[in-house]
Amino acid sequence: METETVNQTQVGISPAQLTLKRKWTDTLCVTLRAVVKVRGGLWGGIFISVMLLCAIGAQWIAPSDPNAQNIMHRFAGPSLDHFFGTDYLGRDIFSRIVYGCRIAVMVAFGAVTLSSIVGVFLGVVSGYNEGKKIDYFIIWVFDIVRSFPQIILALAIVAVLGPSLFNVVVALAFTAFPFYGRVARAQTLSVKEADYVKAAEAMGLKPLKIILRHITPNIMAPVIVCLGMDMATMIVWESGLSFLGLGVRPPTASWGIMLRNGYKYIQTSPWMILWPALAIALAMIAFSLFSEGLRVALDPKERER
Amino acid sequence: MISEPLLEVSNLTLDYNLGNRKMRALDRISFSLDKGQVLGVAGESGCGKSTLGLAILRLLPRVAEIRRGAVFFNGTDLLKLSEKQMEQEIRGQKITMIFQVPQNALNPVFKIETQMTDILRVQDKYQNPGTRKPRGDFRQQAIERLESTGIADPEARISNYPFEFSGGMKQRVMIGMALSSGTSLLLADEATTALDVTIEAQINRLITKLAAEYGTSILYVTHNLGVLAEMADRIMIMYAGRIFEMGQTRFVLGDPRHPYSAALLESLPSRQTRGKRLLAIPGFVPPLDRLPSGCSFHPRCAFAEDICRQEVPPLTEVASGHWSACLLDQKRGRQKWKWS
Amino acid sequence: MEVELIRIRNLKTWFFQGKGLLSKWFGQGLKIVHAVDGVSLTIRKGHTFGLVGESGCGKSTLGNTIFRLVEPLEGEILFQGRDVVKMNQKELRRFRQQAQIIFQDQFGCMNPRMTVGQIIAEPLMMRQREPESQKSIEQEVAELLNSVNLDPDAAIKFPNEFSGGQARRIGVARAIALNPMFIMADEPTSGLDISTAATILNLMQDLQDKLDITYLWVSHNLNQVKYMSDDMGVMYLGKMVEMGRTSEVFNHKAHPYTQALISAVPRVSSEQQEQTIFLEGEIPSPINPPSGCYFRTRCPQVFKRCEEEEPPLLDLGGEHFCACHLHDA
Repeated sequence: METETVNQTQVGISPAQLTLKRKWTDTLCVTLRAVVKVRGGLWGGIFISVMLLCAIGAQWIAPSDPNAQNIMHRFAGPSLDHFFGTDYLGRDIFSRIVYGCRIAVMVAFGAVTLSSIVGVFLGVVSGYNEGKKIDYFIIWVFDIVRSFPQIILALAIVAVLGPSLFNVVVALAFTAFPFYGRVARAQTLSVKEADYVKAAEAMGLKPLKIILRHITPNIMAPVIVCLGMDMATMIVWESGLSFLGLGVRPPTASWGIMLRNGYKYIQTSPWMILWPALAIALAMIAFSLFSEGLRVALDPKERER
Repeated sequence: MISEPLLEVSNLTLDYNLGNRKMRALDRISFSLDKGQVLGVAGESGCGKSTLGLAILRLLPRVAEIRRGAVFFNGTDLLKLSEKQMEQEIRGQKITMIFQVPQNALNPVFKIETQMTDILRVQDKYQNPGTRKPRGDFRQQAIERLESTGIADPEARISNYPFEFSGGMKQRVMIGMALSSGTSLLLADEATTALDVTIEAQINRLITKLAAEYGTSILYVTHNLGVLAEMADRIMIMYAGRIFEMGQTRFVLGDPRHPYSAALLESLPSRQTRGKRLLAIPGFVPPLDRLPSGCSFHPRCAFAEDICRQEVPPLTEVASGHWSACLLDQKRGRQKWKWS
Repeated sequence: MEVELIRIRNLKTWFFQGKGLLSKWFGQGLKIVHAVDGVSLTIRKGHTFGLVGESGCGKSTLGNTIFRLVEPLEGEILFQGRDVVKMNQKELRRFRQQAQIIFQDQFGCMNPRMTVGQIIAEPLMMRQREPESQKSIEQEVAELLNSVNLDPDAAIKFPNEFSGGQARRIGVARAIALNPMFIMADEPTSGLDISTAATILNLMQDLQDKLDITYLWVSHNLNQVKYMSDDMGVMYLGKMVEMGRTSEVFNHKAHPYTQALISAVPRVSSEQQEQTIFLEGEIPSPINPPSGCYFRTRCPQVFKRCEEEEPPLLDLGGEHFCACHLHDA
């Protein structure tokens, strides 16, 4: 019989975590490897990594200041100085795209994180208390928010709060949370009937612990896939709002603003609109592929022995 | 005149190709089945008994590769027929199969009548090529089939949906479709394992009755030795893709020639009194891609000797109609393989 | 001196379907599922009580009710003299540390996202009393895995990496973690091979001898129940139709249902088999059970009184009970 005697005072973790839990780094590696095995998951992952790099290290990657105007060289085509050309104010489009990554990533991650946390929490609570008053109340809240057309709601919120990055994130999160809520609730309804939930109840575990430890981790797979897809959608939404002038304020470089500026000059200088449109499209594809890979990777049935 | 056996499987060897692993699911399987006989196939998980049934009907996935062997049905090698011939002449007509979970065999959104008449119509099309009768022509036939399986009030019940039928009744529907005057061979794969005990008794009685009526032979695959003790004329015990013992039921179960068969019998709670331990065969069934050398059972066998590790025991007739694949049995004659 | 661990008196668990207005107007109105319909039984401490019955007999619901996973309509469940039905949350927590379940679905009862070690440690971390020895949780988990003949390094694996028999053993390890007095085993060998099942049965017996556990053995496998249990009860459609010492019930099958059930069991035996009694028809629905005796629609020995009057549980002497008018001379 093995008796492991570890000097617990040296390590600051509780004994249960030493050998009972798999290292999270191991799980992460296994998951990423599984995602990469799925067709397209690798490319999606690479593109997203590139986006993240640009977002974090924009100041080192972008060759010039995105707001530096150079009227002499406006509407220039692609060249060695300006990889993507310049816009109507002579600003380097490539640098603007790189800085635009930052906006895109912040909106995508920010809005999705906010809406999913709120939505999933409400959804799980609602599902676990199926049939009780709180369930009906939460569904009612979801339905009210969902009955507004998403774009009208987002526009209304930004119009009231004023255009800024933060307000855009809040508005988008608000339109999206019922979606997560519904998904989480539906999953909870089936997961709560599982035998392991019954086992936890039979052990005397309190409802909140059951929700956190047993239910939430097991509903997250479809939620995470939604997250992936949603991030792409949020990027598109942001560009839509910015295009309408209700997103980020100029001169901040966001892909949506670039579209807004560029569509006027589409016949004379198509570069202005081509690159941001391409960036948005590729981002969407990348997130879709990656989230599909995530779905496969997170399915416990597909885990190898 | 001794007639030709209905089914003669000869040296059937089958591999599953999974990436870089090759699992030998069936290894030199040879046996025969006469008309009107019931052959029970018993064994634990991984022994290949389900694969055998699917191999006969050629319903295996593409990763399954038949390496050698033949399956002679009424003299014709099924493995050499084209897919079209299998579909039109053999499957569902001359050789039929019923499975463990009847729920999964019936489509929940269609009425029973629709599903039964569909099959009857397709079979009629194969038998009379060129014609295409409407589904309604077969309603009466479907009702008669239901009636033959003992379902009460078949005229009304045929319009039900599958969820309105209990598990036992659904299995009766499957039996009604599988057993008819044209069926020569029925393959039953754990047909009653998922059913309650009294329903299981009813269903097995029904299968026996109809098979006798139509002269159908049965290949009954199950891990439940008790069922085979009551239903099977002959029994075949499989382990890790090989046949270990085969013969008349009362001899194989009453006086097993192979240590594995003896071990299985000693593990049954019905053979032991309260308070005494059951035999638990040490070790576990080997994975099919890493079979032990020689006799695949030798690492777990209480009686294994050196020779068991070195030579693969061939399936040999050790008594009239009784075959076993144990070298020690073949060399020394009848032994009492008492494990505990 | 025989000690009673559990005594159940007249337990009823009904499920109500279709309470709403829509059911009344468009559906068929209120439907009551008589899952457990007045069951009484006694489980002796340190012994095994086998509970048999077919689909719809209510044995699973009975088990769930004992643990108050579902609330009964009426009746008593006395555990060491205290009524479980009336327990408050605190007493219920203490009861749930002394009584454990081994679930039928050996994989479904484990959270697929937790490692085996975490699963077994979960009850240990909820323990109310401090353990006597100063062992760490991981040491206890390793010991528990050892006691069910599993390698301690199984603790970092996930449930789906194990075979059926191994998963079952993990469930057993979790159940004995807190050294309970009472374990309900729900179809403990379902889906297992003959030799794997034998291993589990041996293990459960060993644990019973070592730790003095009382078992409620719920199974439809009569051979297994005959082998494992000292006392047994036969249920049909929510009612207990026969109950007593296992040897008594098997030797003197008093109830027609018991006779049919035992005769229908396929057996490999050298003795002459008795004739199988075939029951015609299907099991009635527990929503609208037949009047009088619930078994009368399929009983080969039915007579007039069976339709009018429900048979009470009669004492046939020697701790043998049967609910059938045939014995009411």
